[in-house]
Amino acid sequence: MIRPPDYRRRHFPAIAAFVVLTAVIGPLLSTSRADQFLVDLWLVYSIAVLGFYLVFGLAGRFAFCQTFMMALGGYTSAWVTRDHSFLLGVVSAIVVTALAAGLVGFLIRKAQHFYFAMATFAVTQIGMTIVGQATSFTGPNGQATGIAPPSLFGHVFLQDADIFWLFLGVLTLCLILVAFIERSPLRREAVAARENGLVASLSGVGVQRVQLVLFMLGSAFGGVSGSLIGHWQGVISTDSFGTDLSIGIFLMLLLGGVDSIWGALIGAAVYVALPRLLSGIEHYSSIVYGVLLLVVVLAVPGGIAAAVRRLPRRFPRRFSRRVADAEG
Amino acid sequence: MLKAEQITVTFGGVRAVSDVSLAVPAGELLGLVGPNGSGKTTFLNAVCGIVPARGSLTVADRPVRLGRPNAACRAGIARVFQAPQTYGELSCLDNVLLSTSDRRLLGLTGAWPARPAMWKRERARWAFAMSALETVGLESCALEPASLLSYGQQRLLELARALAGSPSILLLDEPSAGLNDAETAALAALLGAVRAAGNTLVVVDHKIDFLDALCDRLVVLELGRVIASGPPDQVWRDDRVISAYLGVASDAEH
Amino acid sequence: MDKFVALTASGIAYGAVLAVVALGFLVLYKATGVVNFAHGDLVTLGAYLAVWTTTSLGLPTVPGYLAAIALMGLVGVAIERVAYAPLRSRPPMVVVIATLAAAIVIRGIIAVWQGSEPKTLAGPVGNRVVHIAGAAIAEQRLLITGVAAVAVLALLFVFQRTPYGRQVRALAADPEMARLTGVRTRLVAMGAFALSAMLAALAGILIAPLGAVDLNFGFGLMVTAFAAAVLGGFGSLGGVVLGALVIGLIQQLFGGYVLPDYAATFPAIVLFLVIAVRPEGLLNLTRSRL
Repeated sequence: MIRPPDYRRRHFPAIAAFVVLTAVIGPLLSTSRADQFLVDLWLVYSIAVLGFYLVFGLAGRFAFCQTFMMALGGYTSAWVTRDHSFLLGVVSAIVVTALAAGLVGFLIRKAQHFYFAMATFAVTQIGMTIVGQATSFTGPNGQATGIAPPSLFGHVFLQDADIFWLFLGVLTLCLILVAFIERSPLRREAVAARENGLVASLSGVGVQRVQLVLFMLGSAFGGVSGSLIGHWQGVISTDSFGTDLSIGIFLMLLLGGVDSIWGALIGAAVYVALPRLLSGIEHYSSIVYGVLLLVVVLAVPGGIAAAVRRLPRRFPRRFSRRVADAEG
Repeated sequence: MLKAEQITVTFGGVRAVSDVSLAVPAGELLGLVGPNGSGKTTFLNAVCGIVPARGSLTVADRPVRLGRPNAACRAGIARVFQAPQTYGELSCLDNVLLSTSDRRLLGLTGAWPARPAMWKRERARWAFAMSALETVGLESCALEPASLLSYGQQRLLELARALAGSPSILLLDEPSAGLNDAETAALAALLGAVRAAGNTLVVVDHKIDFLDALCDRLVVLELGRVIASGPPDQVWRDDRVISAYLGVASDAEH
Repeated sequence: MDKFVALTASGIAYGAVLAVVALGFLVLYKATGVVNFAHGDLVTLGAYLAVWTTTSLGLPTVPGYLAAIALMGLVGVAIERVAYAPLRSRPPMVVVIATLAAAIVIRGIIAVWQGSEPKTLAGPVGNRVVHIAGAAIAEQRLLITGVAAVAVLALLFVFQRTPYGRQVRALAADPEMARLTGVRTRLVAMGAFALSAMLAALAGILIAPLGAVDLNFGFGLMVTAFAAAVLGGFGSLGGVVLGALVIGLIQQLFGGYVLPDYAATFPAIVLFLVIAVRPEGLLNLTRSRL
């Protein structure tokens, strides 16, 4: 039986390896509180960027509202957990962000490329203003304070070192869900819809439906991420999800690579680690990001993940050629 | 099988196709010819729903809404474009799989809760898509990305994709363009076989010999109107067709 | 009544600035096909440069402004050389990402150079006001409207009457054909980048004296200007000017009378609604030959 290439990629062994590796290396890296914070931040940003991968990488929708979805998820969860459990807070964050994305995505289902980007940016601007004004929902000045820490099955996650395991668990779950999509007909339909929607719809692909579903799903990932950030920090404000993070989300996915699930994780790691690595010249970090992005786009359009993926292919080929030369 | 009545397409005041009516009985291979700019491709685009058009269209006596590619697809209309429209990033097999007629469990339900059922359907779809690739002779490239194929191969891939949807009627836009004589002959044989398998086809082309050998009937368009219709040898003797192609007689007489 | 006059006047002034921003954006798009994400940050940079020339260099206001605008022309050429010329043959998405990278770099450079504290730019007319129909209107707003009108008319003249404008229009209509018939795309592109950056600077300098300049100053302005461009149809320059005035008036009048807390969101709402109703704008960017 001949399988399409997408079903041949080994997603699940790779995810297992990633989880084991992170579980071992993560605590080793976290020698100080600041480092532990960065590792946790990497995991929780990865969830949002993974969602953005579904929207932008897979469905090709240039959405500029992932940070708004994070904020919406964060505030919703903070509001729900005033009276209810953490789990219900996260679930309601998922539901609310998915519905919000569904409404937005439906209204602008026909908008393409830059128009979609600008319309979703408008959504961010409108949404953030409303969130800042709706103080009974969010809190004074759009700041939600005293958000309960995450708790599951009676265990309360108070320390950052504890939170690490929670975030790693959620990220793993998200990776598995995305890997299932990567190994399903939904992937090829999404790629076709992205590459040439008109021809795809003539082949019977429900272009708008596919793009809407992935937009809702990716936004829900953003909602989860925002909700986790809120419960982890205990405080969120509209500043936590500002323009810098909007651009940051793009940067993470583009640096890491738009065409695989690993791009999101690699990009988020670079984004979070860079200011730390550049200590002393943190001032210039934004310039470094920009130059790095330009270099990556010019040298490896597929991002860092694509460059890494090409390495093992290149080396064995050279090696086997050498062997062939030696034998011949 | 296909019945188009008074199809009209206007582009900002220009009537690219004007009141074209056309009936294609089941099993026929119809050739659509005409000088450049006579509206052949636009007519096909209108039938596929990718340009807005007026008029009425039925496939197998069921009305089809114009201007909706999805509606055209559901009605069983498949199309092969002049410039091959393949998805370079996807493998050839995936390209063909896109137009599968079994469209269940393609979304999130198949990806998450109903995976075993999705796998079962996918296996059947793969087998069917492979057989479509074998029909056009591309089975050896099934796993290659479509971007690596040659121009002619991409057109064959598109043909395989169109066939995999088990269409009621297949529209081909200049399938022989850019092919050499040997390739054209192979294509003619392939289209003959497709037709012999019971398919209905409409072929737009400029290669007269290619069409004459294949078609039961030719329809000639000029400036968006039908000017002649009938068996090839009869059509080519028609004065209006001659003047449309050579651009003489009519102007001189009036 | 005086409130209405005051709000209308500020709406027109704001609309005039938006028109300058939108036209800068559009000139570049028409000449090169580039949707420039960095345009907003160019507006910010222009305003900061004017702050620098008038305070640090101690130039008088108007020469300082002109120096800043001239410098921005050079910045435009530099961006063309660094972020656009190497990408000429790449897919449009890559070019868009490169402009995003340029935006991030410009933002970073401003942050390092000027810090993140908001700055103020002195206007040439100070805080003087004139009274029209009982309403006190800042002279700066009249000045904005006048200068913007001159700029827009000059731009229209360039587009309609000069060889440069003809080449840009040819490139906008059919890039391939324009190239084949001898339009010097490189020079046109460089000129468009310079012109676009100078228009951005002009807009920034015009509006900066009315408030404070910070890092996000231009970005919001760019989005609002884009709303104006979409509303005006994205194609014709006249339509864009009209769209800009409508957006400016909506923002000021609705903001003044109906929901002052939400004034900043009106352009966003208009933008969203226009895209929801006319999803392809008036110009289909994806039209492919089938």
